[in-house]
Amino acid sequence: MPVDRFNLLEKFEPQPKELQFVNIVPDPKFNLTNLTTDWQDRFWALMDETASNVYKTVGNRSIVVMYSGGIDSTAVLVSLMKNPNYKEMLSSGRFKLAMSTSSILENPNFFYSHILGTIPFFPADYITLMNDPDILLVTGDCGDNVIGSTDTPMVNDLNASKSLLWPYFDSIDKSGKTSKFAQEICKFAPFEIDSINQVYWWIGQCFTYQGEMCRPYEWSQTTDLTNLATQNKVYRFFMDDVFNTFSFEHMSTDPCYTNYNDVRKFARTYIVDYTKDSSYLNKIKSFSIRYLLRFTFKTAIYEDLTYSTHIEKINS
Amino acid sequence: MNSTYLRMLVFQPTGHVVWVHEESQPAQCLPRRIPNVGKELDYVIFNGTLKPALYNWYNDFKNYKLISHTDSQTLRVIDLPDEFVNTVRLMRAKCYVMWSIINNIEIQKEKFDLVSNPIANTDIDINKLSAIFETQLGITQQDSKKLIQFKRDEILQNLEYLNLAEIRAELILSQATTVDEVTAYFELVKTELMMTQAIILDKLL
Repeated sequence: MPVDRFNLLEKFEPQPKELQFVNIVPDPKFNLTNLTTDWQDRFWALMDETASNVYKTVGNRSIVVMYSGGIDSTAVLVSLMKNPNYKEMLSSGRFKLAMSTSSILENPNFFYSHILGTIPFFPADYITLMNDPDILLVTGDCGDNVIGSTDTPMVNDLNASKSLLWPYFDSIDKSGKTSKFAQEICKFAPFEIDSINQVYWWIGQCFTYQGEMCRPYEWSQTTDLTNLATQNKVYRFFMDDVFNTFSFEHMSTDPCYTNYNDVRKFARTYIVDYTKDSSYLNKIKSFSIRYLLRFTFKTAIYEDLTYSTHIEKINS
Repeated sequence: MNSTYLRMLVFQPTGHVVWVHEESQPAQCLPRRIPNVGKELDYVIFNGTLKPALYNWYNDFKNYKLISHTDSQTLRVIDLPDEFVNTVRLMRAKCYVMWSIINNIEIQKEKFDLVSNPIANTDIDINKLSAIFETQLGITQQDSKKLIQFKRDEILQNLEYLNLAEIRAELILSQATTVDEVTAYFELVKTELMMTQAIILDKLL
């Protein structure tokens, strides 16, 4: 069960072995000394480098980009389009987009200028795509975990002290356990956690990162989990090792965000460098992925700590 | 005196009401599937003025006392014989879970604009539809047809998945043999369909 990336829950109390909390993400490799300040240049270079990695991974299969129209998936698509391998893949019919109508609404300029007349696209359907062995899915999942989450509560200053979060948590969970848990978790970070943004980033790294990895498997009910922990079936672009390194090194500097749009500024500028549409720098997030029809399948855990999905349970 | 409009499913052997839904505006009531998941259930409508003794009909319904028959079009109050208590309780559980699922799926259809969306109507001439897109979006005929095809495929695909989910739920519920089984399935399907404001089944049984 990929939940606890750094095995931190064990530090609070012994976890049942039957639940098998495991880490399926490689440990991040980073060096927090002698950090440079060229973060945007590094981010851009990593986008291009990771795009090359995608083309190396695809082999004879087709690439299908899960395109929500949001900043992450647009940046991923731009990086793949900039790559020298793109034209050959496109002309041979091996480069396509899976998307929804909300993908168009999220970023219409990009759709009409760079997709409609050029790239084949069809409605996203995780069940079909995940069960087609001739497809490598490319997603922008885990982008939140690179430079800070856009789901961080709307506070006036993301860089404000983390101490402001504890009363907020206490207002939601009157028992105080959430607040205490978050404070304890922060102590295990590889560097001092100071800001609200860093708290959410670190908790995301610890407990949501692996969940996001599993989304295509969860939403498709795929039973073949052979490549769950690899990039061979689903290439989660921002989970590439190079972004893992970047993430820890960059977040250790407690990056300053002056407004809500700043959280994605590297990806935004990367896109604008390609499209030359500077209005995109101030684009408002519209949570496009929430309008992608998908089903979730619940795993029931029983008293004896065995578990199953509901289909198996009901049919048994 | 206000008129009352009830849509009901009744247990045929005794006439006891298993599932009921009151329409506040019967004249504007939109037809919606009834959750008939038991072969012993019959569909009955009450549309009239309640007798004073039945003003509080919901309590009688909850206590398994409210009855109605197709032929009489009236509501009465009679205790449910002990031998049928478990059967009717199970049917009520099934009906209300199915009703929740139908409602949720209808909401999803509305959310994703799948309800009577004219783009998905294949009776519309693609060339005429394409001409509208060309003019309004300033795109070529080829791109226009590509976009229309995408929107049609998306609507039909989403409708198919939602309809399949409804049919699967109906079959699972119709085969359930205990209230515990229904309750367990409800807990799971709430997650599958992302129900955030589900009914509390225990309070209805």
